[in-house]
Amino acid sequence: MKARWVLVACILATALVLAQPTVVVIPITAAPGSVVTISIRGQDAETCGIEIRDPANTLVFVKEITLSDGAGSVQWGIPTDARIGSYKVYVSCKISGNTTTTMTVSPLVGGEVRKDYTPLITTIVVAALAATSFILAKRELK
Amino acid sequence: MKRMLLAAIAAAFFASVVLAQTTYPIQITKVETKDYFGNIRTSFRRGEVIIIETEITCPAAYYAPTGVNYLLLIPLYYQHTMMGLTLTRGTIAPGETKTFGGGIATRVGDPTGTYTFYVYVWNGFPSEMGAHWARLAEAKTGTVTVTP
Repeated sequence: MKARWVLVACILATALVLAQPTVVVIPITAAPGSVVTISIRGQDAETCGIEIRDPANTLVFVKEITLSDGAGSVQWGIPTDARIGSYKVYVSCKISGNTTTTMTVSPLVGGEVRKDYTPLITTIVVAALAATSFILAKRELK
Repeated sequence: MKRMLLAAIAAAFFASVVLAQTTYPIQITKVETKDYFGNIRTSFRRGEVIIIETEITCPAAYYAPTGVNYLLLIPLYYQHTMMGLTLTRGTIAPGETKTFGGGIATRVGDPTGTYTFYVYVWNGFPSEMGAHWARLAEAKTGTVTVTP
């Protein structure tokens, strides 16, 4: 019986320590002049502070939000003269703790936000090379 | 007996969580927008400086022997874009009242219309406080009009 209470207390303590708000930034890559939505999932009606810093660590957005049923969102209008690069989004909530995420501000190219396809192309090329070498090795064994 | 003790500890824990959510050590007692000369105004021409003056109080009954360290932030927004920010850090003792007036300059090319400002009192930035971040006062908000 005593062990059960200790186990419950441990689970409760672990849950409190590991608790983190879930933060989703949509879109994760956006152009200056556009609006991004930062959605937070935490606990009940807790208060959260949101802070965004640009690549030069300058504060570009600060807001407070009180969640409703554990969820809430804020919108950030990216200034037209915003710095290009990686922005850090810090979210701290009273009960569920804190989370840091990043988003990218990228320039508009031909009416669309320029996306970096380098990692995708590299992955495809490496996979293709691996498959080819595997097939060739199998043929040689035959 | 042990069960009673555990129940009491659990009740105290939840009570502290609930109380922490509803009471704050600082109250924002006044928010006014002024021009450079100290006149109360809510309409500003582009290029002028909007001065947002706030008064905060720490209730005398609040227990804080070394005072309460705070970060007072006033961001100014046009729609979803932060157009400017003024802030200060300080310590306030129970029973003390402090006034802070910060100016935010509007630029000639800024959009015209309704701007919204918020007055936040926190224990620090989320980036520096992490999981220990907390707001220390109920936030206040207000609007000003920016004209050509």
